[in-house]
Amino acid sequence: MADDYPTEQDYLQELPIVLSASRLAQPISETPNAMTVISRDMIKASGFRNIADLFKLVPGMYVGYSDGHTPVVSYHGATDAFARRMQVLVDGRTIYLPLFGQVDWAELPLDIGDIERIEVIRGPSAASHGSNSVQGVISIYTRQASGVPKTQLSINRGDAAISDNSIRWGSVGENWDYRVTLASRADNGFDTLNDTSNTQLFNTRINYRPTSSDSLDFQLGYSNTWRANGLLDMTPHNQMNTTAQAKDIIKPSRDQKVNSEFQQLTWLHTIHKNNDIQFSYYHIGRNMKDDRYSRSCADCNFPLNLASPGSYLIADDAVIHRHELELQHTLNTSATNRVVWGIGMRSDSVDAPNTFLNPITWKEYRMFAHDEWRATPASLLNIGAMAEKNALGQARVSPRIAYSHHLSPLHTLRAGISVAYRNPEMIEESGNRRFLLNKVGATQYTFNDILAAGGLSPERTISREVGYFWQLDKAGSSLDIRAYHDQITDIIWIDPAASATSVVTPSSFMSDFNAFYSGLEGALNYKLGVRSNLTINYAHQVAGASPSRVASNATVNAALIAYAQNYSQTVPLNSASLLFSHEFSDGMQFGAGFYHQDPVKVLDVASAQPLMRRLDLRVAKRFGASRNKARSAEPGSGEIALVIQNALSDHYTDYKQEIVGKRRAYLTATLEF
Amino acid sequence: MLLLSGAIALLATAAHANTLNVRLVLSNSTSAYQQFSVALKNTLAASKAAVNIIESKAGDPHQPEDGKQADLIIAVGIKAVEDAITNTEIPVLSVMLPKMAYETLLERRPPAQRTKSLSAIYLDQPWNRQMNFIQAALPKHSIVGLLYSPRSSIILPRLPRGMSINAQSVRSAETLFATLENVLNNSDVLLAIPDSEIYSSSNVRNILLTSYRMKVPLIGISQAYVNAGALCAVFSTPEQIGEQAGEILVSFARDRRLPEPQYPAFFSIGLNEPVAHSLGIELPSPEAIRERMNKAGEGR
Repeated sequence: MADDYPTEQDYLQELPIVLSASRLAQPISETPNAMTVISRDMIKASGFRNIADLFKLVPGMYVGYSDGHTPVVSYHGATDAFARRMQVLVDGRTIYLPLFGQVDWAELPLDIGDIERIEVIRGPSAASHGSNSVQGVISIYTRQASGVPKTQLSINRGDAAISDNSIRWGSVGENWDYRVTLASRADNGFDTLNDTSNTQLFNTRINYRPTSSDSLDFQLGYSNTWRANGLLDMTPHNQMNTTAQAKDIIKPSRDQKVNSEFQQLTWLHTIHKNNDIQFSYYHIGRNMKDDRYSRSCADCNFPLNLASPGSYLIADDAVIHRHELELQHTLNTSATNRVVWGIGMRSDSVDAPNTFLNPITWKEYRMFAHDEWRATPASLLNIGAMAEKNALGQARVSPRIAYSHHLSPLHTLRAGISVAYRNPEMIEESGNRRFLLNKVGATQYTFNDILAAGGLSPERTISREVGYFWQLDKAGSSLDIRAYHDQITDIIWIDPAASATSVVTPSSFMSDFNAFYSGLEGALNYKLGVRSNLTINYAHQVAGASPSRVASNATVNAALIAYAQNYSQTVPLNSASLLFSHEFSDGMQFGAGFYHQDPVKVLDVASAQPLMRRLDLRVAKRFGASRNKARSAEPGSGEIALVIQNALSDHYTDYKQEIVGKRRAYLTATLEF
Repeated sequence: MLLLSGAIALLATAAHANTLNVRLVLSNSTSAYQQFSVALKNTLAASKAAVNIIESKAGDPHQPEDGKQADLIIAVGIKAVEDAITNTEIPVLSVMLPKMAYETLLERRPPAQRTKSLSAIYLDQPWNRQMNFIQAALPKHSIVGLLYSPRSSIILPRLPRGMSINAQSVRSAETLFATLENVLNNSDVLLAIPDSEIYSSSNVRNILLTSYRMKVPLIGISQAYVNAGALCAVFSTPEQIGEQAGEILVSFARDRRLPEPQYPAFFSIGLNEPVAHSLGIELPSPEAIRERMNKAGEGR
């Protein structure tokens, strides 16, 4: 007989330990670093359809596009197309890939609708996240396997041929849950560039619980990207006079194809509510095909000095595989002390025949430990360190100490100091990017733009910060302010090399200069009643740099000084973002985002990016059974939304001069059943 | 002298004749029922009352035969209670079952059985104690979310000042998580209730993960909930119910009368400090919570 009344079993039943030690996050007022959280509601209100754009909602973070399918995200300057000083994780998986040290945002096998929340640690966190987290750490958390209990269908259509489609569904069961997403995204990029792209992706997450103390999480993803690349209108040959223009001969208009995939397994074993062990393994694979022929340079009027004109094969292909293993043990040793320690290793293999002479495999090993000690109810001490041995055999220890003091339950002061390292990238240490041109007698001419001398050491950052966190009300409104001073020594940058057979001057890499960054950041999250949210972020930054070495060659010295000058301009003096959302009682929603950035210099672009201002608007209407609620409670509900990006049509320069941000609108329709 | 010893002998006989024969029927022999039994016996031993207890398991065909008719049956858990209240004429004290279960079982009795003496100690907490507990532990959390399935019937109490309840019905398993998010969106805490349609052990996992993600703590109904990740709970352990049952027995041995059905007199408070810290909630000590509850007119 099915009981229609409660029984004593409801009180006596044994339950699995769900919120075990490792699942409990530190409250934002007690984290050892300043942190920005971007929630799913904020993602929605922002109207952004590219994951990279979301980081405009982080104080001091730079988001630009070097073309429509190559977003650039960086924090604290030193920005170029490869933002290699920030760690980026998706569910703990590092997606900051070797080779150039890039994050391929556009081809991630992840749909923006599957993001549960994003946590951004502002400032170095090498003690927790290892090398390359010298400026900050982006952690993207996707929806749990149980997070999609019904089917959702969504399409976007709009300007620039925006055409995004997604379907996700899932199921929640006794011992296992799953969610599946199939999605595609496509657009024509910027008006002035040859940057049309489309990506199809598959992403799934399965959670299986064989016993009440074991939870296995499987994730799989695959994406297939096609994109247009290269120059549409090339400078006429006889007007090409500089080496920079000469490089254009290898950039004809062509198609690039990229496949990205990952497999991830995380096993959480709960020994006790205060004690659990997590083992994780993942593999990331990326296969890029970018084969084309160089322009035939029959009448080139520049110092390429090709002995004979011709069209040469440029096979810019790269296959990357990453494998990583990690074991982490979280232990509440007492009510006032938590310890997290672990070991891990990572193997990165790259086969890119035109970029490295031989396939490369790099292996890194690490050990880490942290302690969070609540010395008194009002004070919390975070101490931690990570010891790493990089692929070059260099061992480094990155320690951190941070102290949080609750002046009252609502007011918290924090001070911290930490050391972090950035390991050289493969290209910086071993790059030899060359394309074979014609052969004259015994001389094989090459187009050799990177020729790394090697022998690099990690960049070292020492960071000091003080912060203040004010919980404004019990609804969760807060004000977070931080002031910091970071010093980086031995920054790796370009050192011109010599090649007798190359038609261009190759670049090598060396530890060239030292820099500092100082600044003030503020973030206000304000809940105006239940229906409105306001987020305001502001950052004031200054940077300076000076050469760390004196070269024997006066030209090189002049170049170093020029680099250092450029480097100090890579942060905007002031930048700000504002996001407002309101929910009307009849199912209407309104969102507005405003973004401001003072002029800033991007390292690999000649001219500075001028002042940028942009207003985005989103209006949505829910329909169906649950139109009065932000969340759909009933099947057969849906939403129609209109997003207008750059609503004031204030044409701004994005990243480089050719890229003009114009007004763009798109419609979104979502159906849930 | 003879007279005096005769009087003593008489008294002793009377005492012997007054020894209470109690049949203790456990629904199950798992630890919770054993803990009840041990606590009951300890309480009786401490009181030195003349009570003879014969323990058995519900549904066991080999009921202990000692030739004596029991004076009282203590039925522990629903299975034992179902048997006891329908099958004999002996007074029954039902324990370790929720109030609603007890009342349903009473209604289902055949009319012929409705005259015998019955009482109960419920397993659930009275609503006013539950609400006072939430107010004492979390004074800033005034909107209490509740999820219930159609099988639950909730009679809401008069709420302490400043508190309100946001109760939503879950019509089917498919809508559980959408309704959950809806309730969490509009509540300061989520209060679990004994409703296995909603709080099955597999659902509790996802409910806890969702409530934690949305920073709305779950208030449990047992220590197991607190261990699993609920922020706190007020509950009565089998030992505490056993102690209360022992006190009722001592009184029954004196006057052979059962009191009115009652809620647990003794209760425990379970707190999950790591969850509280993580959610940025400062919980008072269990003693301070108890004191506040006393001031609000509850507790013991």
